[in-house]
Amino acid sequence: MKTSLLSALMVLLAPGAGLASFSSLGDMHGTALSVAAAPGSVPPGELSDELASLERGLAEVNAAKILADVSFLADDELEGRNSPGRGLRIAARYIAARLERLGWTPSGNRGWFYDYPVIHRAVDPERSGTRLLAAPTQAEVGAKGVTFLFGEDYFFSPWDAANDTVRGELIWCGSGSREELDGIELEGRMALCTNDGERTGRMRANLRRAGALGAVVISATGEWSDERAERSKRSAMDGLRGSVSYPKWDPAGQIQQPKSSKNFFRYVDLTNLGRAKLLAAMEDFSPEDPPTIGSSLGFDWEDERRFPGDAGLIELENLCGLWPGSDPALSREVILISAHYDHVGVKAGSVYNGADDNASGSSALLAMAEALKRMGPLRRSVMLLWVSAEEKGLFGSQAFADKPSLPDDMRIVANINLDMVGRNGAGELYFTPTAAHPEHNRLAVIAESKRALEGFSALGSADQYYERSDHYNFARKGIPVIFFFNGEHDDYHKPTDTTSKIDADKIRRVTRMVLRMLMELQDDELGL
Amino acid sequence: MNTKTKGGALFLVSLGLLWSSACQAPAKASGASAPVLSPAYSSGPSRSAALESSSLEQALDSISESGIMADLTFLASDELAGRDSPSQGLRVAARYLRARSLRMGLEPGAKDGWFHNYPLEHLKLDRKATHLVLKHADKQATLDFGEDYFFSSRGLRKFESEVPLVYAGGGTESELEGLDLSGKLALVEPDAETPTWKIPNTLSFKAASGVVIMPNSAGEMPMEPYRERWVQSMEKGRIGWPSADSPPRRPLFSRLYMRAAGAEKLRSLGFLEGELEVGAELDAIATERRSVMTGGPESLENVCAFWPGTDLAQEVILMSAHYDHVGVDSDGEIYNGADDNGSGTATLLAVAEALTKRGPLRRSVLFVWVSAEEKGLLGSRAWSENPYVPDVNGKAARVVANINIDMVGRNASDELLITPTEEHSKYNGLTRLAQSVRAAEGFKPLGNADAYYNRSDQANFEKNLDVPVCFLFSDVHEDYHKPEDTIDKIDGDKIRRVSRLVLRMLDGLQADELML
Repeated sequence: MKTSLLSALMVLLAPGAGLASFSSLGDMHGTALSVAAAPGSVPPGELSDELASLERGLAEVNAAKILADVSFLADDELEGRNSPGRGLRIAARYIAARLERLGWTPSGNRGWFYDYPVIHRAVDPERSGTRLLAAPTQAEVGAKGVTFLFGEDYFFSPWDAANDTVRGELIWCGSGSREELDGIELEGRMALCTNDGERTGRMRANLRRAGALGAVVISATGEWSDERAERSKRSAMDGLRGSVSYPKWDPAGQIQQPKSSKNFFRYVDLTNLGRAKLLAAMEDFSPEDPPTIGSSLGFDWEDERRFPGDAGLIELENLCGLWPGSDPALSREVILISAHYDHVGVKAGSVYNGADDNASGSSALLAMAEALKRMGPLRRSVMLLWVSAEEKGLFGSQAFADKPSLPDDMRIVANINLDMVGRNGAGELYFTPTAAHPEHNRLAVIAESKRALEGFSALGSADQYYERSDHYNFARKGIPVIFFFNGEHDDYHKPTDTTSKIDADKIRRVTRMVLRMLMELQDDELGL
Repeated sequence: MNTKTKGGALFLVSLGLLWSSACQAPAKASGASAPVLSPAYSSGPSRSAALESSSLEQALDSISESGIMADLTFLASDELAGRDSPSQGLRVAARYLRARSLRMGLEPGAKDGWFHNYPLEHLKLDRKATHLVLKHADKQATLDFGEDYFFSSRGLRKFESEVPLVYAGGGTESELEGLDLSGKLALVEPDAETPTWKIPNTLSFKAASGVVIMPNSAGEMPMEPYRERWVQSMEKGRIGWPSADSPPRRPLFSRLYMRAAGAEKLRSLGFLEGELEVGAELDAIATERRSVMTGGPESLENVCAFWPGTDLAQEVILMSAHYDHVGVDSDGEIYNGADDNGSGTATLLAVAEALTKRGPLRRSVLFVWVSAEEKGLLGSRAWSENPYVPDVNGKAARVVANINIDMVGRNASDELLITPTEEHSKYNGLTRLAQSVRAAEGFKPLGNADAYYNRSDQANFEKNLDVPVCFLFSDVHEDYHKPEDTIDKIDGDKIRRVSRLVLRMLDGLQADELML
């Protein structure tokens, strides 16, 4: 509705233009939004400075431009912006380039970036490997033994990620049943077992009880089922993605090294390819005609697993830009506007684009950066913060809230957080904390006074999501917060959360609403 | 703000809204005025032929070094992994250019929107089907590629030939004086003193169809150190023009380097014995076969953004720069390509942004960022063999000139090269125009880049569109095509001044008639 009205106004305002059509997104999306400035701009000098400033800022917020940002951030090439991931880093650099061009003030701990550590438990395929080696007493099997490649020749589940190397004599253990293992001593040794899709829990338990370091598992018959192969492949993919956790610091201030999986048992699942490689190297062995259970096979097995980074310790990035205030005292008070820019990456081969979650909020912040530039300094300072690893447990905001990269004399006095603001009904928007919530504060009242100006019906309650997005980490520090959210939808955390479904005009109106709120946060006393 | 002024302000706001809707919105000083909202440049016949001088100054001053470096930082970041054609990093760069173009108020400039998609093919050597068969009398020897002989990776293409061998002695100029070796494969037994690299050139001037270089008098094949790299590169393959679409090419001048094993096989046939006269036929036939496997097609993107003009909008000035580079090498080193060609890519963005802030020119400008330049100017070839310019005012438009920018961010801050110069057959008024505005941007008289004319995209635009072209280039440097072509070495202010120079050129292309 709004876009055709805009078009009509364009035609009205520029008669005889007859020139090429104004900028549109063309092939990108069906909607023909324009980057032309919104009508209704006010000539300068006619209004108070503050209002004029706000009007300039509001006019700067443009749906087509917002959609261009959403489109970039949610592009397949950014692979769903998983933490960690290349797509995430590309998104970060896109944001940094914008802040740089707009002339904001870098206020991270490394220019625009705020680096923070997390633990990434994953398989680093470059530094992980599993090998068949000649037993020390025997002649060499090739120069370095037979190496099996992760993903191609073998898999293991991400839960078995570790950061060390084990080596043990390889012992034939049949199918690893209790009966077979009765009386077999496996302390410090690796078991070679067969399994054809049965559940492995008992086998592992039996082998662990017997003291085995781990098990190398092959199919008895030689051919995995496609289904089994598929499951293992997915397991490997999960292993490569890994899991991210928040570090723990010891009393001396050092980050505690992540322990290897409690399940120190080294489970190595050989594929059909790996099995063939193994049998080619172990000429005297055949699973169809095996030796007695408990026999040494004349080989050692070495398994090396490494986390990425430094024993799993990696750094993620938040983005942080400052718009310094003009008032000598009030500029030390910072209104923090936040949005997470990460999503959940690629799963089972599908890109989770995260257009609404949360390219929408990230783009709103980019639009705010542009608007504030037009508005000039406010009395208080404004900080825009894009955080990562929200999807892993609000880690980016946790790190920043614990240790904000603010000059010593500045402090955060309020947080406005946007997460998913580009979908559902045009007038539909939720917020927290509401009056029903113990942390209810005046930000809610200000929001209520502005929402109608931007076409939003009475704001619904998102109190059940109070702990589920980044504002929560600031609330925990005693900072008054407000969280805006358009509610869940069918594409939430699905590969179908794509740009084509985004209502860019809604993001525009949310952005404008926040700008209006900012203007209400400039009195001598905040009173939140 | 207290409530008293609020009420008054509200009144004034409403007044203002009424006022603005009653008349044309003025050309906004803020970003992104689409042409249709810039009546200052589109009304009446009394418009001046060029941007009014004050607005040219404003446009020039709106170009900032920090803005250029912000774009360049993104394009040359490790995350874009050297922007190989094709690659994820290249596609990310394309999407960055699209977002920038759209947001600054340009229009989609390709038939299907912002991207001109064109196909390339993946070529890989089929080693098993690549060989050299030598026949003498009733004997025959098959030489295997890689083991017995090899050629450089530039020779990767489908090829078959059957030619008689001729003896070419040591392969030196003096020995071959007066000889015509047309249609024959020259066999050379080089002296250890003769530089191997010279030999193929000498023989090609003698019109031989190719050359077989035996190990030299010291028993060495000096090209051997390159062999493994070439072979690996050809087995890995590369991207190339779809072979089915290719027009007939120059015949291949075959350069074959013989290894010890191959030389032995060759000698075992017995035709190379005794005293041989230089120029004598060797009574042997060489059948060479090069087989390639094709994969793909790969779809690549040129990014096209349009800035429509006013009264001469049907005439389009094509601004070009390649946005690809060479990716990552086998050691994992990223070739960031900050100067090559982040600098030119950022120049186009800066020029475009300056234009969008200050209003349309009389002629339209089409910005095309091309890919696969590093693979043989393929993006510009694809675009110019199938050119598309958006219609303006319902009428067809056409390119009337091209300015191409490649590597403008390094070397002395006051030095810049240009081609075609007066010494070049394609010399035209664009060079004169560039020379006339270079001093205002702190450049010495622009130097001669004619040696690079054929190596850059404007050669394709000139050839296929038959328009005057111009190439601005700041010369190669020690980091050219190395991982060390990084942003910390870039002279951002130089790129800013090159952008300003280009803007002045565009301003100088506003006359009723272009006399180029």
